[in-house]
Amino acid sequence: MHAEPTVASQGLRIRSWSRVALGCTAVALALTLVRVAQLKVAPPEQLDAAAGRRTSERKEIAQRGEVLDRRGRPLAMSLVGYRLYCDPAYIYESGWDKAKQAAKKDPTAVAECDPFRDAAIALSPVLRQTPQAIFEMLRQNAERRFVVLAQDVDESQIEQLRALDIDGIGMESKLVRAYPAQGLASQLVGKVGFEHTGQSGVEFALDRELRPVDGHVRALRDAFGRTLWINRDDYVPGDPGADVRLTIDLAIQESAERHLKAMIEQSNAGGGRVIVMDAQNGDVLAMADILRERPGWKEATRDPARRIHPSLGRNRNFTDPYEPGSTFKSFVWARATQLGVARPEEIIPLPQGGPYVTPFGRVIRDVKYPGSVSWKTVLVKSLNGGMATVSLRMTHAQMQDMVRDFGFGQKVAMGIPGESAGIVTKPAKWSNYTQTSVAMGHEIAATPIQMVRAFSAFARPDGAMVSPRLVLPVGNDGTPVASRSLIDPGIARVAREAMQGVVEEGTARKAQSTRYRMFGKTGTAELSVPGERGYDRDRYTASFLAAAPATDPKIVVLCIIDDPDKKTNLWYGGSIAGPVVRDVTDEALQYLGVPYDQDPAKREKPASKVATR
Amino acid sequence: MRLLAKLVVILVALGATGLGLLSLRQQRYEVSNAISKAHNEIVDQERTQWRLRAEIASRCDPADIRGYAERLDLDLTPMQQAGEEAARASTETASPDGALGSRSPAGAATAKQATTTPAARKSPTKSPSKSSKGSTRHAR
Repeated sequence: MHAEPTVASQGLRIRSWSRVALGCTAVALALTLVRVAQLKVAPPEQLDAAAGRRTSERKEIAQRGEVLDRRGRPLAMSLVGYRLYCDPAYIYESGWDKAKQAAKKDPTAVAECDPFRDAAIALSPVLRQTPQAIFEMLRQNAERRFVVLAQDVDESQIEQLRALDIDGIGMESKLVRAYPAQGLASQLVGKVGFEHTGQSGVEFALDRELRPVDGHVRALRDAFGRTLWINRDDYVPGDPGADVRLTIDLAIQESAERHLKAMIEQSNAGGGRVIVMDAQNGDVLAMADILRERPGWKEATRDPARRIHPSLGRNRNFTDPYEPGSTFKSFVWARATQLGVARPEEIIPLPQGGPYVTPFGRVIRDVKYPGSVSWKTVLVKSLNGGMATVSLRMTHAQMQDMVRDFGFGQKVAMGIPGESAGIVTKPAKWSNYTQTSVAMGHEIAATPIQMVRAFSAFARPDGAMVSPRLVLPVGNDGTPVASRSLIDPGIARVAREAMQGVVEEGTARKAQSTRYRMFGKTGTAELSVPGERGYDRDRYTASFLAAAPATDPKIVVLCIIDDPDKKTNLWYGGSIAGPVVRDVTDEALQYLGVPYDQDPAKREKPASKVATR
Repeated sequence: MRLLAKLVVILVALGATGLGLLSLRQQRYEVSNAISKAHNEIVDQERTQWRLRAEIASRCDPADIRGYAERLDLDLTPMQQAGEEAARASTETASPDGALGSRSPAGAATAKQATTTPAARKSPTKSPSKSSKGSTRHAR
């Protein structure tokens, strides 16, 4: 007979079981903790690989700095574009898998399956390529796992591709550079290369400022690849490049390019250049450089890089010096007057009806031979004989000082690649021949930017030339850099009056504006024969260098027309470069809000009448 | 019984703590997820903004604006010159008889220009920079 279990023994059993349960629970918890720790600290390789696939690391694209004009209008900016790639092997496998699935309902599905053909037909309208081309490309790369389908696809194409939902197609984002100014100032702005680094122009010169530093982000993704979260330490933001604000004004730039292009077409010229610079602070407001190819011509200037892309061409305003011809006479005239070797009203003895012959026997030819005229008229009528006569009154050192003081033979150093310092004869080789040549703007070559810089001395009240600048200064760095005074203000005033005479009664009458008075000097220099010695008598570089308004100069404008076609009867600087300077000046000053200063009587006349006088 | 009760309390407490921690962890993940989504959205918006800015810029370059104005046959004659306006005003003020017709030749020319320019009539007090900014096509 068994004794009934007592309450005490029941309690003991419960306590025992409770202890067992507690122990088991504690062990289970401990095991769980150990497992969690193991998974966290040293997970098995297989699990680790699976978990690793759930995180993705990508580059956080930072924007390259923008190139803006002086009013903040973008000239170059970066956008996100897409490069489209595919995995042909995956397309093939995936296509067959789908066909096998479809075969359960439609037995012909496998027989008709051709994954590459189907993908090519689907992609053709999106990529704007023929299905045959895409098919061939897929077929030829069937074994490869990464093939670039298109380097640049836009947002609309991306949307279409998403709608198609083709397996094995992917895209990666990248920066693309947009130039929204429709090619304006393209040689100046330049271009970036494949790696989004500057290759030419400002893009190259200011690459360090513009270049961004990309960040990166690591995100945990779910089984479908959607971003779950990004840990704080896994996000390093990119550092965008600094914006650069140029001194260029897009409206003035457009005006300059439009008028220059029209005149190049009209005169069937090989090209042309225009610079508009603020005379007081050196801000380059516009800088145009156009080259035009003429079939059948042996062009004097070539730029093969421009054929690849206009932005890759060299900026000839910096790189290509030219013989300034008579425009250079203004500097010689001012220095000779300042030195006192000739007075403005002094009569310079010159033969009538024939060329002047120098004491060393050089024959100096002119278009007209009016005989003895005043020193002022020598400049107004651009008489080579008069310039040669007075230049021989100067010493060689005085002429060389003048050349050096006005910055010829020295780079402007604005950071543009390939800048030329121009060509100046060395003092050791300087002869009387050189002396008379330089007085007429020959035997010396200057870049357009050097000419504009030098001419600013006439436009500034202190007679100092100002250094041109391309980047708008920030904050207190805006003080213009000027040279020492090169022309005495009194002499500068007389020179301005003489050069006003050039426009009103001299060689630049066609440059006379109905709105603004200007002073300037024309130049028509013969072109040197490429690869040979001497000059071509029928090919010229026509130019006009001016400042306006004459009463209070705001801008300096230079226009050069390269190699105009003599058959068009337009080859003199005053005839072809003059009107361009006039039109650009009119529009630029009006745009800048400068009041008209032309005589009211002249202002009433239409521009065309003035041009044909 | 007391031990069992203690055990239950401990287990419930552990469970509750675990649930609480899990709940907090879940909330943290949800917040992180929301932040990540917001981050992606910001990046997308930023890129859209870049694209739109480029599009706007390409559609308002000076040549295009001139083209639009020509197509719409807009008469974008330059507004009158501020300096001349001031000069004309001073001439009128200085006129001994106070007659509005007594103007200098420059003033007369300006007055003619001003009366033939609707924009100038509407806003004669505009600053020169503003007035010139709007004039992209210059009639000759």
